[in-house]
Amino acid sequence: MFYIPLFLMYGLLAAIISSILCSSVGTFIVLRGLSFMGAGVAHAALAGAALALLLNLTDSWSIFALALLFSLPLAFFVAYVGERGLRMDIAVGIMFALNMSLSVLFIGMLKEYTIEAWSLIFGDILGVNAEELILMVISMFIIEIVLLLFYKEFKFIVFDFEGAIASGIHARIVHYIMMFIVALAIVSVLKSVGALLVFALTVAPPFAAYELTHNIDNMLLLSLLLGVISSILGIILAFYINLPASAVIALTATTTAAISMVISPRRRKCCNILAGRVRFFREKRV
Amino acid sequence: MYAVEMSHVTVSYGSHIALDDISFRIEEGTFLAIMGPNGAGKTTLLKTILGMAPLIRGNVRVLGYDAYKDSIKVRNLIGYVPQKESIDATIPVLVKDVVLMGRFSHIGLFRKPSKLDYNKAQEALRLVGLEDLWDEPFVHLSGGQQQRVLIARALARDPKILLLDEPFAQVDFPSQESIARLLYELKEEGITIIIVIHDIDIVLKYIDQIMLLNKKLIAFGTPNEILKSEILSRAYKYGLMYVPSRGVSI
Repeated sequence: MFYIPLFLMYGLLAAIISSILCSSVGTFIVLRGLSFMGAGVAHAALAGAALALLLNLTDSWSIFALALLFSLPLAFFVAYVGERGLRMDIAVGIMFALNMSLSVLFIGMLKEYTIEAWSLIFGDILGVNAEELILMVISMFIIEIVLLLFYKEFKFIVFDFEGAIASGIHARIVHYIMMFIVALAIVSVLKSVGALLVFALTVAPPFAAYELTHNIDNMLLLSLLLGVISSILGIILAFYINLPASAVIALTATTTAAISMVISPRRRKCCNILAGRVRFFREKRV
Repeated sequence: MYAVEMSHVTVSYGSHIALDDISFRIEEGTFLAIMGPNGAGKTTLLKTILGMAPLIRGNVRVLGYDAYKDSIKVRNLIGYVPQKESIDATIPVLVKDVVLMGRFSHIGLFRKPSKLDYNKAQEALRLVGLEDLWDEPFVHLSGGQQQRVLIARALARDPKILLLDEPFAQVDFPSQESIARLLYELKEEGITIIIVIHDIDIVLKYIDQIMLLNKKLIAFGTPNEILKSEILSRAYKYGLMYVPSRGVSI
């Protein structure tokens, strides 16, 4: 019978859940023009997790709690800046710099657990344990329920934030809820994907989906599908070629995005227009 | 009861005063055009009616409700058409998604649009003459068509008051006339229409009143009272005169 080692099974499950979490929130952060948000939140989570290791709090729940404690202020600060009509990407940049500095400080002060700290930066998807998997599953349920409940409001605020407020929707509260699930998702995948590569999973599948459809509902579903396929493919490739799994997953996700760009109907339309113009001038010359 | 009633309203963004001591009343079912130079506070005035602009002083009442204390009630009575530049047209939404957004506050949280909501949205799209574009991506539409979809979104709310911020920008001439005519028909049904506009000619035959604004309320009255060069010059600071069929000219 075909045998799958337990660590690989856990790794596969972690990869699938990570891609579902990242694609779900990534769709909205890409549409909100906040692609860099994934990296910002991930580095805040890294600072929190590094502090947990420094304080000898090495169990999954403590690392998760401190990572979330550091990520939420960033997410809420970005939401606050956005509702004031200021540029949210600048807020992400400032908080990114602050949290990156804290991460370097905390990791530099570590005398033990340096391997664990490095795994938080680059990810260790094949080292995910049952406790961490349970945490990811709980987060996934919370995020998907929130997404189902507030989906139409999320759609409205990414399209027209002021219009949503003007129509009597509690757009500011909805925006904070959106930022909360972004932070929760990224903190949940920190151990498996790593602070650096989480960026690939929050941006690449949603971007690939954006290139392939003009319908936000389809974009979300496609993003989930492409994210899951990239992750499964990445982890299988990494296992058989013996390469770091997170890096291969990030590579498959970014390759998917590149392929989507090439075959995108948006660009095909541009090409068609261009071809039409060339044909027009050729015929005119004849 | 007045549709909108402002008394001594001052609005300020930080140290920048956008509206200074504005007082006026408009009756229900009025078609009002707001004119003024760029930066005169026209958009801010619409946002003040919605209870969204930072109020420093004064009182704003909309259909008897305080626009700031009862802001959600007030917003549910209003259909707002923002300037098209304020929305992100690159977001992958379909025309039906956009029009249905107008129904979201009526639908409430945690619920999906019902058959009634779909019917209202389709009817609103029919009113602006774009019922065939129901399933089209919003990004595929021309600027004028996008503007009409935004008007349909506001109409889908069954508003008592319609606020429109430069709705004729990028709209071709036949569409301008059909939208102006539609607004007049809505006014005849008792809806109060408040429109920010630069080219008054488009709606001149339909409007009841004009408000001339330049941070302060410069003039407020019927078109015959307002469209005089000495009054227009007080708002625009140039020697202006109104030339029928050519609008306001320097």
